[in-house]
Amino acid sequence: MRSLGSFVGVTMPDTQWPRFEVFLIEDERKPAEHVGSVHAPDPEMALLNARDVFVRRPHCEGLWVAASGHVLFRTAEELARDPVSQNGHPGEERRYLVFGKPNHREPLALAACLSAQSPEEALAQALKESSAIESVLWAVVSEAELTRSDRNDRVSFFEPAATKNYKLHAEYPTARLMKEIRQK
Amino acid sequence: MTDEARLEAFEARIARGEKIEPGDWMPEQYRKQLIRMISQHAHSEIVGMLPEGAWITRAPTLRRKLVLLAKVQDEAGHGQYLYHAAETLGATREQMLDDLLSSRAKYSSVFNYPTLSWADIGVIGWLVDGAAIINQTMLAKSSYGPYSRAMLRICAEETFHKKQGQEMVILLSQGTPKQRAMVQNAINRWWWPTLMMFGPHDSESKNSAELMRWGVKTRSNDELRQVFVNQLIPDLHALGLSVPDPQLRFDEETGNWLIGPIDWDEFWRVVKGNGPCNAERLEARRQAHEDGRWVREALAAYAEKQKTEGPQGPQRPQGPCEFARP
Amino acid sequence: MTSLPDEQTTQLVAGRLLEMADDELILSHRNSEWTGHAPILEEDIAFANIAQDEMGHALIWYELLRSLTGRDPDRLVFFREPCEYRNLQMVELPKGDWAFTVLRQYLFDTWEAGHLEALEQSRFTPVAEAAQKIGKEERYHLRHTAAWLCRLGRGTEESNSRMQAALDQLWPFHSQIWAAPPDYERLVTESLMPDLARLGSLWEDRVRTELSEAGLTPPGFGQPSAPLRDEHTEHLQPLIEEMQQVARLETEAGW
Repeated sequence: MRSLGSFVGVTMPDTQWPRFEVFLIEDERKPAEHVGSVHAPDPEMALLNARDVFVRRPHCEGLWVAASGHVLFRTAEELARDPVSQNGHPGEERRYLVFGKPNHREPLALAACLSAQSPEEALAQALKESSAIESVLWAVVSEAELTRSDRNDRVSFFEPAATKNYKLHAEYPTARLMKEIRQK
Repeated sequence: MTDEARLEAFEARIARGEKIEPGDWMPEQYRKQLIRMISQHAHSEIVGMLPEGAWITRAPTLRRKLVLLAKVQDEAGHGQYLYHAAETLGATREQMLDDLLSSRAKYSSVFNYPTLSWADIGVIGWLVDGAAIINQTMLAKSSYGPYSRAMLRICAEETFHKKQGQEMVILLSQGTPKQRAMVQNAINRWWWPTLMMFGPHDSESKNSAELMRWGVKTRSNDELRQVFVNQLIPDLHALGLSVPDPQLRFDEETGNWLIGPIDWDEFWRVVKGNGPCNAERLEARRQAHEDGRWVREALAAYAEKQKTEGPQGPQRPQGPCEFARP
Repeated sequence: MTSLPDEQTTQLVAGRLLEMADDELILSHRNSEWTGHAPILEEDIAFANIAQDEMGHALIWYELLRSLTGRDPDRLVFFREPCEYRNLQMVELPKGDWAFTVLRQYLFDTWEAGHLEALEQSRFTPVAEAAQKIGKEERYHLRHTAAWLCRLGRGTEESNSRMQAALDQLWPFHSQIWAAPPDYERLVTESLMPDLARLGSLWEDRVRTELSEAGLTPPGFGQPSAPLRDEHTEHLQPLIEEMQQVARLETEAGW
């Protein structure tokens, strides 16, 4: 395996490029949700790839990507086993976004936005401040690590998917066709 | 905590209907089984692009062209979701692809059969995707969170695949004699390979028991196969089409359509790499991988330069995050 | 205006729409050949997206053509002879390597972006509205191909030399892009269609700048004069034959 390069925070001895986690805003009134990841050589390509992979159909109004190495994931079970240390590897004070997944049905969605010196500290703070919030899975990422679509991108990124009605199963009247044939 | 106690707690969680998430404790065998299963599933989507993709340039109407492009694109997307699910278990996409390209990994044997006419595209949509949906609907209930979520997303999109296929088969079955012959011929060739997609009989499947115990699968291969046959036969008959099984009969007592014996020798032959198109499919994937190498290297090199020499080209300013509620 | 003044104008607009539709269709066909064979999975998805969009654009122009002439889009596509196609030679060339595909897409996308912007000003409302709709997707394509252009141009020595080779191969075809059909001037005078020569020179300026930023140089040679739209390379006939083979199995039946 040859080393083909790396992006900030990711070591990549890989021909598939680094991974970026993808967060999607379905509707401006709803918080961003983690939907999966894409492989890309850099943040701009990650954003474009996220659009092509996750917005083949509506609905979407915004996309964020962050290199996987910069996103801290913790499950409730992990936290019970090994509570986060307050000051993991403290760095400078930054804004962190904390995502929580309340149960198995609901998405891993943005739950808090706060200042901290490390993702671990941000998570510990979120746990302390919102001890009432149950979550089976947490994700934490620094705001500075996100690459985001902006408002001007909306028209070209997201609106076109709404016109591709041939991808909707309701466009295919198979039940009606079968019924008509049976009646003949 | 001893491993035994951990295993007990793990199995209790599954029994309670909880989902297992990536960082949770899990038996090594659970992780291995999942990586094997999810990556096989991902490979099937990727290899599955080839037999249908070959007909995009020949689709006979503009709408069919658009639909087929979208469908094959979805398959790539589904492969992408599935590789992601396997990656959450510690597998890398490079390793998984390497396993595929070096013939170490398996994928659904159905994609090793050739597509000989345009009617095959309709039949694949209705039969092959229809069978896949039955399996995937079950897997959407899987105990592993990321797999289950990938499946939910896939099922929602795949219904369109099945229906566009069924629409084509309906149209051809009610069309000219040539079109009817074409679609019947396609069904004759795809019927048995589709039934084999559900896997060997439960008594022969070495993985089934473990997968059921850990809630990865919740129904057996034979059960799912029966659901499929019962769904499909009445519709095919209504269209004046038949399946190539002289022993097929309706069982009044159970309400099931009972099929004749499946040729498992053929199944194992194709699974082990000796089907009609195994070599061709893998060669196409290898070629794409090799032809793409300089491209992947170039973009990695550019990213490296950006990192060391600072950003090149126009930069877009970024404001603070927009989100509805903190 | 929502209807055209006379038969002659209608025929001229229809002729231009056919060129635009054929360009999109043939380029989409070439791009769709990558489905399942792209350099990385994400790009299989991205390129199938571009091919779909272009097919969708072709359909919009063919439908507009139908509203003017009554010609059915599927009949037009699947039952026309290769010599009756009016697409650019550039789009019918085989897909080549990834560099060729990216560079052709870049040239076409940058042209189309300017062309659509100008079409939005058309006094013929259906054209202006269609251009606006298509323009939304085109802006995304442009961002995608521009990102690829600069990465492959400035990536490795190999990627740069492949891109340069693609440019050397494509550049001789570039002037056909703004060649106007006979009597097209009338449409410009009546503000129904944009002045192609003016768009062409703006486009060439832009493209030369961006290519040079990507470390690429257009060759100093070109075609002495742009070929007409009814002249094709040897690559179109097999493409059309492949595209039409299923439809022509049953010429009157539905598919």
